[in-house]
Amino acid sequence: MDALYGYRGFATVVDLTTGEYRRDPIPQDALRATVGGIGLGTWMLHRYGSPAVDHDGEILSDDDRKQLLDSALSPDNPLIFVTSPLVGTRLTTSSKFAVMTRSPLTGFIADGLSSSHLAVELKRACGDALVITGRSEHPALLHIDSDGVPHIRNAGHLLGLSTLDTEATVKQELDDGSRRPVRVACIGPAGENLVRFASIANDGGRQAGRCGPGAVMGSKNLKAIAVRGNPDADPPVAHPGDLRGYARDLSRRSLGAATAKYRELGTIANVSVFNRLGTLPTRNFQQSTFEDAEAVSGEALHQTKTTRSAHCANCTIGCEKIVTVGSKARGTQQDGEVSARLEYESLFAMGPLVGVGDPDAVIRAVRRCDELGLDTISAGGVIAWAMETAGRGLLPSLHLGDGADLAHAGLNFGDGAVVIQLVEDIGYRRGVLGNLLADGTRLAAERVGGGSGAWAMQVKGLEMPGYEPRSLKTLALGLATTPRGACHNRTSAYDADFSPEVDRLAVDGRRGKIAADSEDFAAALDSLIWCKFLRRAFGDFWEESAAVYRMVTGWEDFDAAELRRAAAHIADLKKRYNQRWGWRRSDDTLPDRALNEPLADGVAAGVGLTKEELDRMIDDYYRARGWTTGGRVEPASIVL
Amino acid sequence: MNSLAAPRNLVVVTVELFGMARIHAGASSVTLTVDARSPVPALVEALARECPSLVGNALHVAEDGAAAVADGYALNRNGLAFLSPDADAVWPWQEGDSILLLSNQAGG
Repeated sequence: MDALYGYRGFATVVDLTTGEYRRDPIPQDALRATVGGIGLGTWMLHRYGSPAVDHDGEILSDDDRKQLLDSALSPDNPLIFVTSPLVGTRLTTSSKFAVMTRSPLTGFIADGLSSSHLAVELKRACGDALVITGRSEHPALLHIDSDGVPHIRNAGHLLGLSTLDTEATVKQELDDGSRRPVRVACIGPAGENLVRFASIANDGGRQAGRCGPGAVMGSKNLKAIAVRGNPDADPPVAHPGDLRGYARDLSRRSLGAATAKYRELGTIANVSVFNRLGTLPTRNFQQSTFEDAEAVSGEALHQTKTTRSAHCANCTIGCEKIVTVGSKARGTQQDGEVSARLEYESLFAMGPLVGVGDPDAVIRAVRRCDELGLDTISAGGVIAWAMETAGRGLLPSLHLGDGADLAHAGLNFGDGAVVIQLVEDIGYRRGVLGNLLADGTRLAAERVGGGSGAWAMQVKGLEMPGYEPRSLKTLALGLATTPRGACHNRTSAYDADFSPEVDRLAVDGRRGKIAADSEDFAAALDSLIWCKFLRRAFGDFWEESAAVYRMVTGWEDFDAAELRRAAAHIADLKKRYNQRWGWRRSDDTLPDRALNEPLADGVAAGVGLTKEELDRMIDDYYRARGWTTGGRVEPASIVL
Repeated sequence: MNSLAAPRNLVVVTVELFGMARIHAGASSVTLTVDARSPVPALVEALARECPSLVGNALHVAEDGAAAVADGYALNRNGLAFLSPDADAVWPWQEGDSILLLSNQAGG
């Protein structure tokens, strides 16, 4: 076997049902074809995720699809943590890992990313991936120390703890007096209660947030994972001298203009810009501007609140802005001092989307989501749907009025206290309403009926992010077609809309190619894994990334063209995975509201998007991908 | 016709500032009077003169006085069309136009 650089060459596989573990080799051609991170993770989902299941091409009933959705919470569904060849190299922003599973919210692929020290320790302790299958018979802490041997410990005493308290407790319990603490991934009460959009937290509040990986972890009775690897286990890189020189140069560039927004105000700077451009979804996408946007804008928070920046491990950018509100002198949940890691999507979801313009209420709601282990975007999305549905008089039919639900008698947009209460109720599945909303917008709308699916702002079951698709037409296509559901991060198509390249308010025949290219770009970033906020710091991204890959792996004939092919192949792998789990053409769409209601306000007032326009773009996208006219990738074209 | 009236080709436009440009300027907008057919760089020069605190961060001024938006920034007209920051094209600015100076990084 050739010497292996950059990779460990194996995955640690733990069966929580039997308590057994093994190390599975990963073929070098699979590593090279899928790179790492989300690419390798998708390959592993095919390998470990019920490989015999294949509903590709079948006409499934709605009941069958519901069963497939619920089976994401069965012991068979693997939960996979995947590192990358760049982890451990100290390249800026490279300490990242992917969390892969099948989503209990969408029934399809769930490919999350998170970052910081845990990535480094995972690679040292577990190899290129940690695959967790089965279900523990008792609440479990999976502990893997420097010998690489997994131990399944009882975690009954951790149940009910917040994500932050769980991490702190586990670190304290496993403190061996050395200078290297264990690194922890864990769920909060939301994951324990199988909230379908529960997140997995690590390193002090970073989240693999979308699509409900925390619910999958909860379904395995797995409260936390603690890892501490052996630094000597870091795989060698092929050309360490070249890599050091490159790393210095990239770090220098990472401190330039290309990342200025992220370093200075962070992504919360988007609020005022998106509001001005008529692309800030407000009150469940009924508006695209928010009258209180300035109050919750990044500029205002920077000037009026205590903020500080935080960095992931080995990151020079420091995009995270930790905002503090309240008073130390007071100590109640309503007015005591609280800090939250604030970024645009959380701010949008707990602010404009639910009509809340009080920054203190927004920050308290975000903090509570992080403690409970909830995806803020989906939480805000389902609360916004509930507020609109209540306003239309549909929710009282659920007989909400037991004690726990009386607080929701006034479910009105803009009421920050109600938002915080609903976050709490969702996290614990408390009361009729909390339990309903904990299953996400799509299922909630199906149960309530009354046409409420028309304003359920989700794609494939995943709640929409803070980008108005009617005024961002390229992104609209990306949101409709991305295998993960309504996610801006796996498509990056908004980059074209925020540039002179296209007319963002109009549809044309170029968008299919642009969306496919931007999705490939994101796939390469997410597999190597680079932080997206570094993307403009590269000269020629493909040439530069291929060169870095050669420096790390020593595969000297790997070039930019091969990296592009790998990215496109990853898109095929994801699509094929969804096909196996019952994907059909009608899953690639947008919510009714986005296709039937023109925008009501802002600079793009009157602009809409018809189903015919979207379908034309989708056809162009399938053509650009080389898929069938029905949007399928042929299984024969997939290499597994 | 009053010969003292402003020449017809002068228009008043508002430059709206976002992100750190707003923080540096200490204002959310700046009003400029420019020739309606000013190319984009000329408009940026006028902005640099009116708001020198933006020079060195959001704006770049060369030794010969030529101005451009700094790397990492973009210009947008009336919240609709994004302008190429180094474009030399002549735009028929309209009275009351809003020019947005904002980050060119949309991710979040």
